[in-house]
Amino acid sequence: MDARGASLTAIADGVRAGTFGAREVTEQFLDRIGRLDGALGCYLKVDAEGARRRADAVDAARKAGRDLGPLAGAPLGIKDIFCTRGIETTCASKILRGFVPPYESTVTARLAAAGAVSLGKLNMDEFAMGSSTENSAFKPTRNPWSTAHVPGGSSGGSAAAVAASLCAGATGTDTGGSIRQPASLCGVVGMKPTYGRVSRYGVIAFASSLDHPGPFGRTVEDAAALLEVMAGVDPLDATSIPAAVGAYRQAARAGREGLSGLRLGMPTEYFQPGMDPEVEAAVRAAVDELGRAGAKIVPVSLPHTKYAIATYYLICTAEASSNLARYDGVKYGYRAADVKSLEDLYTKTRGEGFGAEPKRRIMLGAYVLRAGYYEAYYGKALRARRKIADDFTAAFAACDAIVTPTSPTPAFKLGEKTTDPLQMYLADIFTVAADLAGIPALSQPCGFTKAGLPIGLQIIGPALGEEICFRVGGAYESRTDWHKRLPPEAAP
Amino acid sequence: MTGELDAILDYVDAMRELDTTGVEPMTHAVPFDCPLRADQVAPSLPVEEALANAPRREASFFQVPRIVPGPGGAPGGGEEVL
Repeated sequence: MDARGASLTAIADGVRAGTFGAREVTEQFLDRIGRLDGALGCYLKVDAEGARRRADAVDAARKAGRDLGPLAGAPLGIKDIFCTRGIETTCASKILRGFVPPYESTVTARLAAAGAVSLGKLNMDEFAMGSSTENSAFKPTRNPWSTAHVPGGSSGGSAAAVAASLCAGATGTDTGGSIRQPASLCGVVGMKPTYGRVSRYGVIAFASSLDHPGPFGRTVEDAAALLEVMAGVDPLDATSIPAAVGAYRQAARAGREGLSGLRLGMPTEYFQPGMDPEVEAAVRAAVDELGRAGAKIVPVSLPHTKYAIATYYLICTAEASSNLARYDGVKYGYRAADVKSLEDLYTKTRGEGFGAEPKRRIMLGAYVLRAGYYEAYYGKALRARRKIADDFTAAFAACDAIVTPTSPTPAFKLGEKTTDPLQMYLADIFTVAADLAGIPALSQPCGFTKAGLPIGLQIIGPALGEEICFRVGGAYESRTDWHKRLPPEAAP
Repeated sequence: MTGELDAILDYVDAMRELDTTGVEPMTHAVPFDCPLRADQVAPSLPVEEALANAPRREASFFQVPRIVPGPGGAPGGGEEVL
């Protein structure tokens, strides 16, 4: 078994068949992390001891003839926004440094019960606010395809770790594009499911009506296998959907048989003059390939696309200002020293504990919610959100899935957008609408720039239409080999 | 940071041109009824675990700076009490 480039479904199949042991797999990945992560900065914390213990338990279960889960021995990285019992969880913020959750998120509990082996916690933008992972309070993560470039964000640690084979799959969260955009920039598969398809219990809240946990994989089937385990109703999340979980892996495989009978919509608003020529060429070529796979390509219109970023930033900052009020230096996390009063405790703790981006969003959110401005900003955004969602409903009357670029550009350089927050926000221009509408969307590699940076194709489905996304993704992947390319790495 | 916030507010102001008359606000992506569960006592977080991350604690309480005036009407001070 060679860890580099290995898919997690192939690893789980090998462990289940006894071709190799979970411990052997775990050691290979831990060795890679030790050798390669210093230059990439994917992990905030490596839990080698815990990983070995979990791998040994899988091997012991196999020896004892017990049933192994579908993800037996699959080495995963966990975005540091998922609470892990007994393991420090910081959300890449100084304000949560030292926080050791007394409970486990539903997602990580389900993955562990399916036999997956968590290797550690992955870097991200602080509180998932950002599109480059440069907002981490601890360190930036670098793109494995070019370390001068960002991996995207906020789940940049997850995307980069999967791309560099420092884990075979990973968890992420997507509020405005935080799974799909880094997946696109790092050349891996990322899936944002329908809102409520995956439980948010134990996922540190940023904007509750927009937060979507989901998987990263090297292949479409890998992402499907992870989502099958992560998804499902959860009594601990009242917004989780009580619908049966789909056969996602089967859908990914079914795509290999072609797409005849399927209509794919190309929204004119996502293919505008002036877009990055290399991104446009790669995505148009991908759509042509889907046509050759049997799909009928039809034009559709999403006329309120131009309001999506403004709508998103009004809603997400409003929700963030409320959610982040809990960090007060009393119950957990950072507490400022030498305070004279309760107010002093709050202002010093929050002033010293939060980085610039959470502060910016808390202030914006408080501003748009304040009396006299509420209707003009927040109220307006909630109405615009419905118009954006209605655009998709209308489009899905004419097509079964929508295909677009995931990101308007390939990976940008570290430092290129940090001085202008608005430019950073515009990196999410093709991803935010699916979050506002709460509908599933997958990103997969569909080419590379001349400079060798990955380009991503986005496939958007209707609510609970994850299987359609996986089928289209599976079809494209079976006809191309972008997903087989591996980023360069330093010689051992 | 003031300049950055101004630029962001200028950008979102473009939404004013959008006519949203008669549009119902969308507070949630998926329509759902608030589900109710049976009113049964279930295990909850033990006090020790709930307090384990507290930066300051005493007995089974979180500790915060004095909020109400002390004995003799002394104003709240830096001394931390329960």
